[in-house]
Amino acid sequence: MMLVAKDIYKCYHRRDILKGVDLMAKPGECVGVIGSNGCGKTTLLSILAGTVRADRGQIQAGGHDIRRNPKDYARSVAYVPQENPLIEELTVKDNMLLWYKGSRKRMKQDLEEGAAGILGIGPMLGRRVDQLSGGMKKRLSIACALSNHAPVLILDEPGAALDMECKADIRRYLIRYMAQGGAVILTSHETAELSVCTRMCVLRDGKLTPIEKGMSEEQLIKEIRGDVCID
Amino acid sequence: MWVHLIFLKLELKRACKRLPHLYAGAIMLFVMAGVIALLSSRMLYGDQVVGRVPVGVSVPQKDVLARQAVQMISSLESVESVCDFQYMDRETCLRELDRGNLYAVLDVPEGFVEGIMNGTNIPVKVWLSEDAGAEGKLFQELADAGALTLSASQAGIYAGNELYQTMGLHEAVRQLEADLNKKYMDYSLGRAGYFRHQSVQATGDVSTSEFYMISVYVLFLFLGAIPVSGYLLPAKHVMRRKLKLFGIGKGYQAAVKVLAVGMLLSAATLPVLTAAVWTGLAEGSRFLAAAWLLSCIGAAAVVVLVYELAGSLLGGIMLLFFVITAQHFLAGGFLPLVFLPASVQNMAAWLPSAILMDTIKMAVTMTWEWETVLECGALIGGAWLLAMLAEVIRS
Repeated sequence: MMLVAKDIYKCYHRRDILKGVDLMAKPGECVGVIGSNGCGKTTLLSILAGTVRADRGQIQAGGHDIRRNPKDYARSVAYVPQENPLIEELTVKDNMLLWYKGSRKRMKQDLEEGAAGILGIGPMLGRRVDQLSGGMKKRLSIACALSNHAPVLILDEPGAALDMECKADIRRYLIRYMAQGGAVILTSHETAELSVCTRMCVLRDGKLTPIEKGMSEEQLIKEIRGDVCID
Repeated sequence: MWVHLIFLKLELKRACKRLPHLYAGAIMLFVMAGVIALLSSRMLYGDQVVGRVPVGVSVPQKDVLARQAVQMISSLESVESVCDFQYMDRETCLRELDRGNLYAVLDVPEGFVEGIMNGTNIPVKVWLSEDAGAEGKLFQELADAGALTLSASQAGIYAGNELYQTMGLHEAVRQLEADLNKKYMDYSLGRAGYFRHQSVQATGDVSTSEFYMISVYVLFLFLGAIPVSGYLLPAKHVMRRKLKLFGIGKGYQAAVKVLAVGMLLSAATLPVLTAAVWTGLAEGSRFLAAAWLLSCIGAAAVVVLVYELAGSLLGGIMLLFFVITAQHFLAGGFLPLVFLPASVQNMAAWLPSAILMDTIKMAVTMTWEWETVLECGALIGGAWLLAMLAEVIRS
């Protein structure tokens, strides 16, 4: 399923954060969004995921405008925010049950052969979330987000504060997800994490501009700052 | 619908994990309340707690009339039921007063009775102990009431005296005074029985002890939530927004939290209520069950609102403590409403503590009042709506 955002506008406290953003993510594709802190990356992803409403613009999934119906969002998009949306006092199993809407059968299937299984959730099912490491929580967040088997996965800085091994595991999973026909949109400040992206864009002054893939860190910094790229 | 039930189940499970904190906090709160009650009773009563008021009376040895008058006063029912008159000389009286063995001393002067008869009114000196507390104040009230009665009777005699003088019946004045003295006493004592005794409680339909038990119970319902503050913290924005995508809106989230906190408060107060029923302090009835559940949910709704308004752990604890204590005072929880200014009395009926205390009073008086039930319902609904509004404003 293809996710298309057209002419997205968002204003916070009389400050224009997004000024007509266009974005498209096709099946099997990973779109990386970079930008300086506070440029509106999280706002853009939140709008795409349906947790924040845009002031103007259209968001289509599979050709349908999904903005008016939260259920369409829940079916089409899996969203992993920076902060893990987990209930800390409960066990991993309880958290998963909530996002699986109580369907133990679907949860079991996913633990065996779905995202939850690949992300290694099985062995930690009985543990309380507040006893898990940051990496484990992030894996659990991704597994919970994908409980609806959504064709579009949106991740907001998935590797922030995680160790190298965990980042690599998440990258491997994303590649597998894309190979199965899923579309990924992610933001990150790390070049290694952005290496899975098939396309790259920079968000600057409220506008999203495509940039070349495979740029060095210095070149990416110049793009983010808006300096002229000599090469 | 299914996801709503799952969410409810998980929130209740999450709340149950806080039960040990709640019980530990409840024990602490009861210990603190006990210490405060003990200290305040000591402040009120001094070192000795006695039921009767010992009063020292110093009467001149040779003044037989004064001694008879004091004996007559001491035999009056209102005085006899409260005071123990002990006759001794002036110095001993004052020494015993200093030692705290007496709450008051009556120093009757020479010619006391003659003074009453001829209108010179040589006053009786009343000495009160500085630490006498409630007993001393009670005696002062009795002495003031006695002086008032005496002045009223004297006014009657003087009025008759003046009337006779105006009519030129100078020789009959003495006889009139003697007759009025006797008849006044005959009638005032004889007619006392015609006036019905009606006891009026400052605490309304319940006794003072019941009133304070209800007040402490309601205060405990509110402050008992402090140990579970961690549970009461508003959920992360991202969590709320994701839940909304799953069809679980702000209203349902707030309602579930009210239910969960209500369940916690019910669990915390159940042992207390069971003990009260078992020891005979309260009567187990459907009124008690309904009032208990309503009060727990009502308190839970207010507590959830306070934490939603505060938005943080420390802010929530501070706001809950100060807001609840202040409104409990204004609602007449510490001092019955009749002792508070009229403007406070008018406002009190709308305060959460007053509504919850009225709800519990239904169980004590065994009467079902729909007005009170509706007020409690409005409190729950209003707090729930405001909690949702607070979340919207904060986000």
